[in-house]
Amino acid sequence: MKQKEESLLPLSQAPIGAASQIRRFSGDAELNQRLREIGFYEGAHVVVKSRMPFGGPLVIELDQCSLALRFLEASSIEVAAM
Amino acid sequence: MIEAERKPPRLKVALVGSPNSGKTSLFNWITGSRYKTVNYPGSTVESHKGLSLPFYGETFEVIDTPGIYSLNPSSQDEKVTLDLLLSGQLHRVILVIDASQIQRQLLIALQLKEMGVLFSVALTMSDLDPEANSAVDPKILSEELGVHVSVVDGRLGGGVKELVDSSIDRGPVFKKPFRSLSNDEDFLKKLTSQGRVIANKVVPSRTRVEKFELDRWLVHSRLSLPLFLIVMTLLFSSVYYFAAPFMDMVDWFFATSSVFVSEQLGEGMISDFLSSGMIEGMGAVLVFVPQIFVLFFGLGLLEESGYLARASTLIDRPLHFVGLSGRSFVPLLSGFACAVPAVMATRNLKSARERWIAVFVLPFMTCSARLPVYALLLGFLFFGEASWKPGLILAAIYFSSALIGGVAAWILHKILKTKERSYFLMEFPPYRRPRVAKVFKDSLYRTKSYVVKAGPTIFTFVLILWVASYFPHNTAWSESEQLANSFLGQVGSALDFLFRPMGLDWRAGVALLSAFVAREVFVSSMAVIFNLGGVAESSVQASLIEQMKNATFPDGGLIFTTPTIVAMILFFMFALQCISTTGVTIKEMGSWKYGVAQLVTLNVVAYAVAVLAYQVLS
Repeated sequence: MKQKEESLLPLSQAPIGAASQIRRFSGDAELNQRLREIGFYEGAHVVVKSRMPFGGPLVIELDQCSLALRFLEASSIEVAAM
Repeated sequence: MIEAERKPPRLKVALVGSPNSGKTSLFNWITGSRYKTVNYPGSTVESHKGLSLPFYGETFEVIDTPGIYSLNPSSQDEKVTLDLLLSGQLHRVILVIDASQIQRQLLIALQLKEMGVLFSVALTMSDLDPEANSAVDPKILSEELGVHVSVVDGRLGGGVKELVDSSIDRGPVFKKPFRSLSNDEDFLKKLTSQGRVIANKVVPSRTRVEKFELDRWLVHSRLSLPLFLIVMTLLFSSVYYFAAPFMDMVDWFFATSSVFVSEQLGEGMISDFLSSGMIEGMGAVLVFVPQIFVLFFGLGLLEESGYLARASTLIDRPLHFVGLSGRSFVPLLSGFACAVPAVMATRNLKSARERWIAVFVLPFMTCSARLPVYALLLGFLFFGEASWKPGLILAAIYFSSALIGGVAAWILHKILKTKERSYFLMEFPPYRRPRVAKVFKDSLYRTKSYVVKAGPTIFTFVLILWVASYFPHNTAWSESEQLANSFLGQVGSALDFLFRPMGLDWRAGVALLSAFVAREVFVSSMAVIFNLGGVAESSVQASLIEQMKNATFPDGGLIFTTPTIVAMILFFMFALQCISTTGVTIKEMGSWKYGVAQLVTLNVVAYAVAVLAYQVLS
């Protein structure tokens, strides 16, 4: 029960600069596969570093590496604030 | 003799690895060739092949493959590598792993193992981050993977000999993969977590290294866009600023040579051909070589620094709006140098639809072959005026051409309905200090190939045009009578009706038509056709502009006026006048219909726009 109470939010909603931890992927199979291949996994620590202007991609730090994801793709990664 | 006959066939070695893992650097060290390493994920779109240097012992063939994240074939790139592995032609596979990114790059190693491929590992990029590298223990990695691991310094070349000795001479013989990979998500999950377990063993104490400090500014939510605009403005204004003195030198050289040759040889056919045909025709184009070099050099510095991956991200939103993505940014940007390699670079786009649109609008990017054309036409419009004026208009031409390309893409995006989802996952490479000497050498090489490629075309056309304008020859005719009565004049007059609506006479029309071979040929054609009187000034360009100012229709009206020049500029902005581009497009898209449709559409639109502009303005 306690685990269920943990509030998850999509990575796209995470505040800039705050660390969070990936809990699950809620996209379709193809997107999930791509995210895993590029290095996302459950339990990984991520930080949203910035958002590109006009609703552009988000810059995300993951395991000492920076990468960019579109808002929609980042929405399919559910994280818990740390 | 007998020895040679017994020699086994030359070994084929493939370098496989993630984008930016250092494959191309390693390839360059082994083969000594000067392929550019581009600090941008996915820069190797084709497999490069090369032969090893004698330094490494018996010669073997090296194949550099495009960077991949995984061996699940989801894009062209991954397919290229997978097909190569499945082809059964390879003798050795070297997996290149960037030590600082090891956690994410072990997936391919595990996939290769799963498939039953025998390989060895080259651990690279020790130069970038010595601390992170020393933390990776190659011995443990070797034990964990059960393959040979060599540490390689991509920048200085250390360890390459050891890698070759251990993996080429005594390395495992390649076996054709005997298992295909499962597409199952759980399987992928299993492999990636295995990779992380191994990475944790290999890197016992992970020390955090801040390698992305510049990103605080360059991908800042608000500052990134102004900084991007500044970088792009600097790039394009430097094309004018830094190239100017060198252009003057080239121009002076050709003008002097032309005068010298005609003085030495006196009057006559040969003298006329050499001075006003060849030297001026070539000079009119070669004067722009410094600008092309500066553009290549600027793009090279940006590529090496790692900024292009950031810029692609920044530009993803607007590109997404018109049916493209940030991944199209680099092909589109290279389209500003030349559309031919740019079309090839679109192979890297994951979506076939995005590629379709990107290739279609690529010719709108102002390639370097248009630079001579615009420079001449703007030089005419702003003759003797401050140089910032044509500079500003040129910037506007570059910008609006890109904008027109965007509108065209958007139209195609709306016409081509799709349910296909588009993705954008961009890995940021660490920033690197660009190796200026290397970029300089690369740009010199690229400029040289441009001249070597364009040179014979220009030469041939200058020759044809000169012959066609010189014969049939009658010494009694005046210069204008000669031209009008020549073969060129006869053909041109027949097409006069096409050019009149644009405000041009047949002479300018012929120059415009000759641009379909290559755009820059326009300038040398103009030089040959209008500059028949020879160089009177100390500059080929000034002399040509002088001739253009005095060129008249048979009724005495001036040909080159502001409306006609504007119409011509617009024509060049829209038209696809490059046979090489259409050739490579047909080959790359695998459809001649596509190439022909693009060719016809762009040129019909260009003609219509030019005619409209002239009619409205005059």
